[in-house]
Amino acid sequence: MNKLFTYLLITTLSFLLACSPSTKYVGKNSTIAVDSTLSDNQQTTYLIKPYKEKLDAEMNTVLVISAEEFPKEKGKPETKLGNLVADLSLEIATQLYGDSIDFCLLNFGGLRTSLPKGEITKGKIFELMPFENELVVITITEGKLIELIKYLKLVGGQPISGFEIILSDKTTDEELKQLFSETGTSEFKILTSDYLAGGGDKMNFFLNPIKTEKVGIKLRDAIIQYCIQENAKGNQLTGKLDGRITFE
Amino acid sequence: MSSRRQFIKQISIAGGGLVSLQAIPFSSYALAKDETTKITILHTNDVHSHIEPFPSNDPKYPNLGGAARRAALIQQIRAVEKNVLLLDAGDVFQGTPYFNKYGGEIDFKLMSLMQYDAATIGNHDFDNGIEGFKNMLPHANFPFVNANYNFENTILKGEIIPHKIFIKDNIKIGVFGVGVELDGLVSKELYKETIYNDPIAIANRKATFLKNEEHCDLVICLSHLGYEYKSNKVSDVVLAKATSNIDLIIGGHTHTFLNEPTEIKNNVKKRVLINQVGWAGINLGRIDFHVTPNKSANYFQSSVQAVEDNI
Repeated sequence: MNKLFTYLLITTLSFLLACSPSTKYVGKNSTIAVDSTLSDNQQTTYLIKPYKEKLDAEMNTVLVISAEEFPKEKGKPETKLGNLVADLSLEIATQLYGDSIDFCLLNFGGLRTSLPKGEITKGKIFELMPFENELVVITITEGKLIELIKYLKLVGGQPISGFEIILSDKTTDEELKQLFSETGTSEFKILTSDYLAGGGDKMNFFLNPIKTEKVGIKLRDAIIQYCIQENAKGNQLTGKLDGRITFE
Repeated sequence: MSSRRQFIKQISIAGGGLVSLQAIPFSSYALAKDETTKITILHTNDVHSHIEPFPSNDPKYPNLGGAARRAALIQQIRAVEKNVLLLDAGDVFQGTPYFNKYGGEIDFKLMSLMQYDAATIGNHDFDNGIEGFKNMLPHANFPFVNANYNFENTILKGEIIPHKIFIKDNIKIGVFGVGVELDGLVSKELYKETIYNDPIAIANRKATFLKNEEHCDLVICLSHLGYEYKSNKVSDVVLAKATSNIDLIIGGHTHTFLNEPTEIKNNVKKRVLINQVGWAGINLGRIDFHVTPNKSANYFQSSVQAVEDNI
């Protein structure tokens, strides 16, 4: 038995003593990227083919060109993607609703992917908004609106359109009430999706509203319609951050 | 020595030379050699109908993912490893037009082709209602496991099993599932009379049953609770701390990209691993457990790096 072997044996034994009978975890990385270095499994490609061909015929239609990327981002009070979708929803819904809507509130979680720069296909909009959610106008009381604002503060922001807000710990309920009383109304019309109107994403302030009205369009279709409309006008999609939600 | 050669080969292929063998303590090899059975756990979560790779102009995941590549990767691993268990932690459905048009048919067919062993149910798997899910089940040749949803008064009664035990080379592996609270996340019209029960109490009972009564060597929890929250909402981290007898939690829901499994001490100070690999089939998770035949000691390693260009 040479010295090296003895040394290794001791190392091994001490390892066993140290770890037995519990478990030992060695090594670090535990994910394998599924990327272009892998060639396709042919059986799988064959299985996908008929489904893909049928889909591509419809989904590869280019709706509009985007002048920039709209990344899906987390942990920010406002994002270009959130602003785009909230703004266009309010615009399209207002045309259909035929009356003014105070503002729009959606959720970041419902916007499921990033939009690339360049061609925006119909399929990409399905990925952005895969759900069959419909746009609805919810009429709520001032009290519920205060809850809504507290919610925005708690979650750190959501996509909004039609108002600007500075969220501060210093603002009291009384001050908010005062602010709303200056608007001269105690009822507020808010555009959202039927999912959120049902209390989705903990938006409980939408439950038991004064009134719920369907706009008559799915959120996804509103996005598609907007893209087509902008393209027809010769416009590209552009993004903006305007400080509509800020924290103080 | 064959196991060592194979191991080295696997590291060098998979790691593209990025991993040095120095990272693997000699002692761990010594223990692995001939004395242990290697169980390779492969896993996905939140694939969300991402059948095709992201396009090359995607701002965040250009040219990543894709079912055909995932299938190729799984096949490569199966060619080398004898004892593979392929699992999914839920939200197979919803995210691309494939779901809007085909309702999950292609997703389940692909998972069947890749030979998934089990999956759990995520909140989005309810997106076409429990009817929509049930209608797709004939396309899945693998079971769905969930222990904390009570489907007794729904059409899914008897369709979903609480746990399944797999035997690989005399090693017994118990797999059970837990799902996220549906209220506030999924509309009642979709989940109907499905009842959500506290996942911690259920997981504790189930894991203890699998370990002590079924004498499983490994207990795996497929979870769609989410990795961790700022609030005290139940999550994989909370679950790991509050239970005993779980060896590995494969998570989902929060689309969390973990570079390495999180190690947590459970309520009897034993190590639990949590792993989650993002979403959309961008990554495949891999954890290798080395289980000794006398079952008094086992250890595990997650050894494979990202697949680089030189594969």
